[in-house]
Amino acid sequence: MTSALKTEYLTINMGPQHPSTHGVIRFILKTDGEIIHECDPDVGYLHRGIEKLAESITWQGFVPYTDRVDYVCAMNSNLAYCMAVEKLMGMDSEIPKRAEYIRVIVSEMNRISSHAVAIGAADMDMGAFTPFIHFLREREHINDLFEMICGARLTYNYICIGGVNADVSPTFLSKTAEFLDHFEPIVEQINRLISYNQIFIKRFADVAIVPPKMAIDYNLVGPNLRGSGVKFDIRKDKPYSIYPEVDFNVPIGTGRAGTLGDCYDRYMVRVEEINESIKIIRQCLKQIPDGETKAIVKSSIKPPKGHIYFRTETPRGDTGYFIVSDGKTSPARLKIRTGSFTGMSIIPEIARGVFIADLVAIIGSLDVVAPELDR
Amino acid sequence: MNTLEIFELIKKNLDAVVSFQEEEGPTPSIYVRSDWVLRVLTYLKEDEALSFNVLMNHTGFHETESAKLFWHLFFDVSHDETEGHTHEEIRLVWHLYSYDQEHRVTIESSVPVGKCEVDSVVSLWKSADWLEREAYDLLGVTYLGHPDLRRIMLPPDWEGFPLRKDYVSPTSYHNVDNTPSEITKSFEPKGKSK
Amino acid sequence: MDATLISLGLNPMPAKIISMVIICLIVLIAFVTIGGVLTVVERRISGFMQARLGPNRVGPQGSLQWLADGIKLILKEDLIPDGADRTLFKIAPYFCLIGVFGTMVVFPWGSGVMVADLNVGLFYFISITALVVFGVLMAGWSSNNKWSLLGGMRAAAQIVSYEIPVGMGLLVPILFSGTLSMGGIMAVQGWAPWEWIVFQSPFTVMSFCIFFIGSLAEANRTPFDLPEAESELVSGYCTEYTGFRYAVFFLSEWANLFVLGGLTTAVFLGGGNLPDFLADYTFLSVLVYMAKVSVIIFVVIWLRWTLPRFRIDQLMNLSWKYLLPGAFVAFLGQAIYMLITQHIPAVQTTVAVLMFLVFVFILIRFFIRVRVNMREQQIPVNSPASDVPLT
Repeated sequence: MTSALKTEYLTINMGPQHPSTHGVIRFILKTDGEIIHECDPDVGYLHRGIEKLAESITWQGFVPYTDRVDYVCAMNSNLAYCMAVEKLMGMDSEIPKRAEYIRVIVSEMNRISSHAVAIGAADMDMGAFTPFIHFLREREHINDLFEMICGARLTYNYICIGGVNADVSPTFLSKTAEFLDHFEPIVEQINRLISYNQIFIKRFADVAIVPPKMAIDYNLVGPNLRGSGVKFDIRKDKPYSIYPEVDFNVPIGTGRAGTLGDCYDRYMVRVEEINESIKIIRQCLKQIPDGETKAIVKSSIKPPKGHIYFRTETPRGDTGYFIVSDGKTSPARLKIRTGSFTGMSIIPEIARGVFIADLVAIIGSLDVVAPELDR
Repeated sequence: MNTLEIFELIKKNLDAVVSFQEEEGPTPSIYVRSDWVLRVLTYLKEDEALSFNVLMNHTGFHETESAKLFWHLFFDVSHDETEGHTHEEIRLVWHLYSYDQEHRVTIESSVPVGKCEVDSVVSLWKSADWLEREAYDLLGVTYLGHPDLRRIMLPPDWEGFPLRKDYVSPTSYHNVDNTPSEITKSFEPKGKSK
Repeated sequence: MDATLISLGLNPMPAKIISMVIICLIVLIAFVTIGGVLTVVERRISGFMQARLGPNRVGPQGSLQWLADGIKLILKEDLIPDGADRTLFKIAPYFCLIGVFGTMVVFPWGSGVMVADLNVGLFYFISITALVVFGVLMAGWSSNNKWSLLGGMRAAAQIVSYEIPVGMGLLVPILFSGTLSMGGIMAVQGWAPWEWIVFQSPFTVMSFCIFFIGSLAEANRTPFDLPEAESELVSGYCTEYTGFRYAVFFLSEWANLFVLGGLTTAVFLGGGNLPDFLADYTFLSVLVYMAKVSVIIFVVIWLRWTLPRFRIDQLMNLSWKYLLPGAFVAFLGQAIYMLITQHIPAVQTTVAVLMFLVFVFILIRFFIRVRVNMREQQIPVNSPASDVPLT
């Protein structure tokens, strides 16, 4: 029987200019009313060819570019690249202890600010604007502290190959401790404001469930992977730098408000990671030794021939730097495999049969950052 | 399990054309001939002792000169010769990790520039989908059996593959002039200007 | 007023018309001013809640910002998108405006200060505000934009669904006072909180909650601001609007906020009633009324800047599964309760006072909680370098 009524899907273009796509990402949605039937992410609007640029730039000269790979957590990007190059040169054991501690302190601080932005942005996508502003206020304090040590507030270029660019002052350390004392109750306060809010939980729970198997298959990393209940953190399982010397937990999703691996689990993993980062920084502040902050590195390094794939835990998860050296003054090939990239690639799968409003929740909970996605 | 043990296992169980490469760099890797890639990777994923359940990264890089030595050393050159006399090649890398066994391995392969074709591994790991699209987009590697091989970063009508070493930036795109200005040229290192 | 005009030598008929026009103009200007000022108030309050300043440059404490915004919006080009239904697109904002401003006919500005005390006042109120949904739907449909269309559809579904619980919620005060006229409903309440309808019985509290939630949804306020959810639908039904038409939408939205507060105050919170010995001072009555309306408006703004937003299916569930049955229960409960207490007014008064005390207790608990939060906020951060002990 042929029906007289013909129906067709509504094709909606979401982005590249859309308030909740966290940068310039475009989704082509085929919807049945408000229910998404098919979602095709169109990425690349922020593709700046950083990988190509690396091929014509010196090894040290590339460090500022890693800031731009993910400007929400520039310190972690710096760290990931510098450690990969150090490993490639075989000088990873020569880094002074104090430099290692400073690196961990600043990258954990940056993790806090990055997670704060991620959580705040997720709240804002859900229509709660206030927590976002409150988190930005706290982030300003972290930016002030970073300004103290390197003069920049967003793209730091602080960590360098062989250590860090400048030593930190005792005032920085004590002010960091003061900030942590101030910030710790605020996390719980904002949790009471938004994370335990019933409307918020209803919006996030049981939405876009990613079972552990699927998360591994799509290579989700970092908080997104742990939100699905896979207890894997490179800082813990494949430790680098001084992470073996500090004590911290790896929070994982447990299906707090609904099913394991839903948006709320991913969100809460980030909240708990903030607390773990506070714990790590407190220990580092106690244990930090005196001494040099930079190993002796030539101004023009030429790592030996070969390639390396080095992973570090950035706020958006396991960021892998694949670097090929042909023994010249610049990398022969540099590929950055980022957490946003894999996070984005799962969206067509999990955004099927959900509401448009849920897609916003999914983007918020996966914490996709456009420049890191496109590089 | 380290890379050498994995290499021995593959050699024993699969009779594949593989070789072990340790000298170059801190990461040892296993070389596989391009037409064997899918079989080796399937074995790596499905063998219980190995169970590499995650494809961390996949990419490639353009080798212009040095690689041809490697190519002749380890493999027969039959399909190199059918495709004209180019010795340039795209080297492909797969980085695998196993959450169960907590070990990792690097698989390498290479395809000649004239015939950039390799089997897709989307059927093994979903994460390969976008990684292969990216390699196709930027390096021009064609993946046989990929369900949706389109450009991902660049616009669909872009010409050329930017990450190849012989890539020249276009001087215009959709009538937008892209020739470098005098100021830009003044920053270029001397002697390198074209 | 027409008496004054007649004494000036005018015929009764033109005098009536002129006086009506003058009254309409006064109320219209008052509404526009209130709508404008409320935009500034909302922005200042949200600034206060979000640790920032908000507009504070134009006029004292930014109080004239709305005028500057209005002038700016009027000067903007009036864009109509290609392919839009031009007629509908042009008239849609005025439907919203009429829907909101039509309520001024029965809007009580205090005890006895009212343009017309219709005997079907509440009924008229509910009917005329339904015009807003036409405006929103027209705007969404005629914009030739899919986001606008989705916003318009959401608005239609939402406002139509919530009209019913709102109407049912209003039945309880109507039952209590036995009249549909605004003045009548205000008249049955006294000046003291335990004489307000809201504290009369558990069922009136229930109907107050249902009415308040429902009217939040009808006014498109968070957590029910789905028709223009900026993080989902860009700007919903008014995505394509610019300049003056956009201003009209916004004016009607904030005027609607005031109407919401006014209706709640008049029906549930005792309107502008004063103690007997002050009953002659109409001005004082208006002041009391405005104070109550301000509190309600503050609560609404506070909710907006605190709560996240519902999803469309949750919104519908709330309306049809919880609010509507709840309203029925409240209505029946109140009817039975009134039958029981009809002959024993003492029980009625006791319950009312008890309810009021419970409310005061909750309020005190709330302020204690706020103090804890305030103390946590005061842990020092970023103090001058000289004050920080070296570790």
